[in-house]
Amino acid sequence: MFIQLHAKDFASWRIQARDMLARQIQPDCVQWMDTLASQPSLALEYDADCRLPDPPAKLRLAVPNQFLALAKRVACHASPDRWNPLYRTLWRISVEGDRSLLSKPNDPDVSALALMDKAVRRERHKMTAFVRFRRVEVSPAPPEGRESYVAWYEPVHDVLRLAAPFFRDRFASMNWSILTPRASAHWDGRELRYTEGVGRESAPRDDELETYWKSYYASIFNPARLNIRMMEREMPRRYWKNLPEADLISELAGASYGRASKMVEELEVPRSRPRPRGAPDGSEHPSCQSPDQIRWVAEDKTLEQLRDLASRCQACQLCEAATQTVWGEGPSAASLFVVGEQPGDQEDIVGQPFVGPAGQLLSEAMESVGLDRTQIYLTNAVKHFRWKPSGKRRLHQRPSPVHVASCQPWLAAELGAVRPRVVLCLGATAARAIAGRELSIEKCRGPFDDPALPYRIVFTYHPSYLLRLEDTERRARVYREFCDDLKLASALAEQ
Amino acid sequence: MDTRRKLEILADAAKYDASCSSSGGVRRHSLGAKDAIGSTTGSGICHSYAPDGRCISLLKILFTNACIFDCRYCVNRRSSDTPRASFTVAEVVSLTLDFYKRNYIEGLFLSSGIARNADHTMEQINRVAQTLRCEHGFRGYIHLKTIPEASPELIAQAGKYADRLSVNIELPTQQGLEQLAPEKNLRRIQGSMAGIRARQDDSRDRRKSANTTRQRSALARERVFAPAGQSTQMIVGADKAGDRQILKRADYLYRSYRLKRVYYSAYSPIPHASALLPPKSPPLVRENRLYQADWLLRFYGFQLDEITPEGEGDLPLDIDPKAAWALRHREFFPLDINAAPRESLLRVPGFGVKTVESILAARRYGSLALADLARMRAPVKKALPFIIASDHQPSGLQLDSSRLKQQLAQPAEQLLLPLQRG
Repeated sequence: MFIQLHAKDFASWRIQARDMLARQIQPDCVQWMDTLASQPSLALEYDADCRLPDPPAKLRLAVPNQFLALAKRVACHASPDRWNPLYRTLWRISVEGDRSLLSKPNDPDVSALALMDKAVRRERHKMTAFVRFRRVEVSPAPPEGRESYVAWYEPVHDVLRLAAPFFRDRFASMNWSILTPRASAHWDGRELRYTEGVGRESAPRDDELETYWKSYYASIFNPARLNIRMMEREMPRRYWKNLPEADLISELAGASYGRASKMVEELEVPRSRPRPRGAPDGSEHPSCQSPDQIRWVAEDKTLEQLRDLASRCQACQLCEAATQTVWGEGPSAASLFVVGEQPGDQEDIVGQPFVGPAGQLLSEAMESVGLDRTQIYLTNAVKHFRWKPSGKRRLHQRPSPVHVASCQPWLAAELGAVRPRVVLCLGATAARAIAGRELSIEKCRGPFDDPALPYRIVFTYHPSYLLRLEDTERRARVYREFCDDLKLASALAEQ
Repeated sequence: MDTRRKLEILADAAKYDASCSSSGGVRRHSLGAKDAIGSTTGSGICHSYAPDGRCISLLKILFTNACIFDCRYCVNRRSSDTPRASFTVAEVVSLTLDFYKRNYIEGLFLSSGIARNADHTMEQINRVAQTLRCEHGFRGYIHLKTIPEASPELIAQAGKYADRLSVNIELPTQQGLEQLAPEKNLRRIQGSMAGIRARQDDSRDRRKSANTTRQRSALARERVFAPAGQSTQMIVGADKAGDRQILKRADYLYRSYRLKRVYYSAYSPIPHASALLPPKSPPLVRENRLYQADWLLRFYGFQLDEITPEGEGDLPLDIDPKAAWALRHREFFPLDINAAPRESLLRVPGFGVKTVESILAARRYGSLALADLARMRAPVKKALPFIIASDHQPSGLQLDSSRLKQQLAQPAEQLLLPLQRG
């Protein structure tokens, strides 16, 4: 038994395929052909000599949506061979029960369908790209001042219905028609209508904007980089006949050699002209290249002047990979001075200290002990963000003693300008910068007095240390201690 | 001067910017909206291709090519005697709409020379975007070039109307900028990128933390800040910077400021160029190698040091950077396509992300032979010496062979990547 069928589009094939499945007709026993133009009928037409088995009374077909979507696209392909692999795939999924068939890209049927699907998708995409509307005046004029546009297009695969919703969504406020040899689509603001195909002569021949478009096309082309092959790969010649700008291609490509070589001849000797006023220039002020230089320039400066000088600091390597110097923040007469380690990812972006997760925890703790953050001077021992790449992010990396030492003069200058009563050191890096040596915070937490210093010191944990603690009990204890230290520092500052 | 002549001058002046992408960001349409036009699809559309093979997706023009800066590589620099023109806001708006309605473009990419001062120019650019969005209900794509020297408020305003913002870094090092673009400053450029990222983060965080219906509906009316993110461009071959320096800067920019794209643009001789510049472009294939390396860094799990080992300044031109890595690490191969993990398969020369995903999907149902790869349309030729399949075992000789490099080398023009994507 061998059955020959004719399908015109997805809808007609679907009816036939359901019928074939219901009668349990093997894929090998059926062959689909395209409906020829001379065969207007869409009804099922089986060859007379076959006796089909009767369908069961009730047919229950469960076909994955993924297959239906694929079949709708493949049905638009111009190849007459598209129906048979579709039916075979349908058979294998629904009768043989291979539900995961479509996720096997190496299967011959799936592979053949994927190739057609890709061609149809590409054709649809190219249609959204290469349709060129021309404006028309229609009488009577459409209501609400809607403008009317018409395009002529010749798709290789029958993708008009796949592409039309794109034009509806984009040009909803225009009236438009896209005419193709097979069918036409029309939009009037209310519904998408499809009518019979027409000939090219039904489309408008011109639009005055095309001269502007061609001027643009000719000007945006860079003759020094002529690459016709690349252009043709993405915009094959078969599309050119409906693209107004394509008329220019051979002329532009032909003239490009002369244009590029002329430029080489015209090389200019640099002329120096006075720089106009108002041209910003960051390179006029020297930048600090070493800690000694910082000490030298930082003498007797206000906080604002220091901030400006520090913004150009290159005393260590860190400035190369960081966005900006993150300077301290707070009143210049604050009695409590808080030193952290270094800015993190968010501080580096925003340019303010303690705005990231650790900064939020610090604010939270300060609030819980009644400290007003705006009355405190906050800064870091190192003022550039040190990081290393990790995945797609920047991972915080502890500054080395070299970085701490390079940046120390800035911290000293800040201390000299603010003249606080108490310096609260968060973590070991801050302790190194203030006390000049490595300390274990666990061991020397709390107040520390050096009679040689004009301020008292309190050592405590860095809030990011709290964030890293996983043991909740331990974390709660450390948090309590952290708050106690804040309270202590605040009390000492008020004395 | 009539609009058409201005269009010629200001499109010509804009063509050295490689970026033309209309991708990324939100999906919008104008169906059901009153007095609105346009849509964005998320992936962008190339409406035409110029004979240089570059996609034309947006109306890419300068607002003006008058400029107070004197960047040597730029055709619009102060000291060049190129013809000058300036659009009016109304001209740019109507050109954009007229082109858009005829389906020539996805939207507008507006950049500008710095006339008078940075703020004045940025204000003009913003006015164009604002007029398109607010007066004409334009929902197509808008890419605005932001001027690093402009005030942060103006950049914030630009992000309100634009899908994408970009700040061009132009050269990877401060030394390069000092030599060729004396008014530009790396720190300020990066500071500007940081400012854009900070606003994006803020916009995202507020959306995340909106708990009540009222908060959410208030946010829904507010425009997302630059939903298609930010990008930048680096000129290749105008200064002495090597590929390693260029990629290092790119890697740093991606990580620090979450850039969507870094565009590499081979320096192209410009009319009346400065004699400080090379008279010839670098080979275009260098630009391609950089794009390939950039892809390896972002989507293939390669580290910078693997692509350009320290001490080796430039990428090889004759083979692609992945093949070059494979040749340096022959001990890593052959890989069994039926067993190797995803991240290893991504290192096989010739295999792209799609091929690897297909292999992973297919091998769940059975062992794969070379014919399976062919049916998945995987590019096998390059990969053969590096893989084991159920019916294929490369001879050990092949992997050790000194001819392997010649085998992997391909005529350069076959490798040209389209500039759209991303």
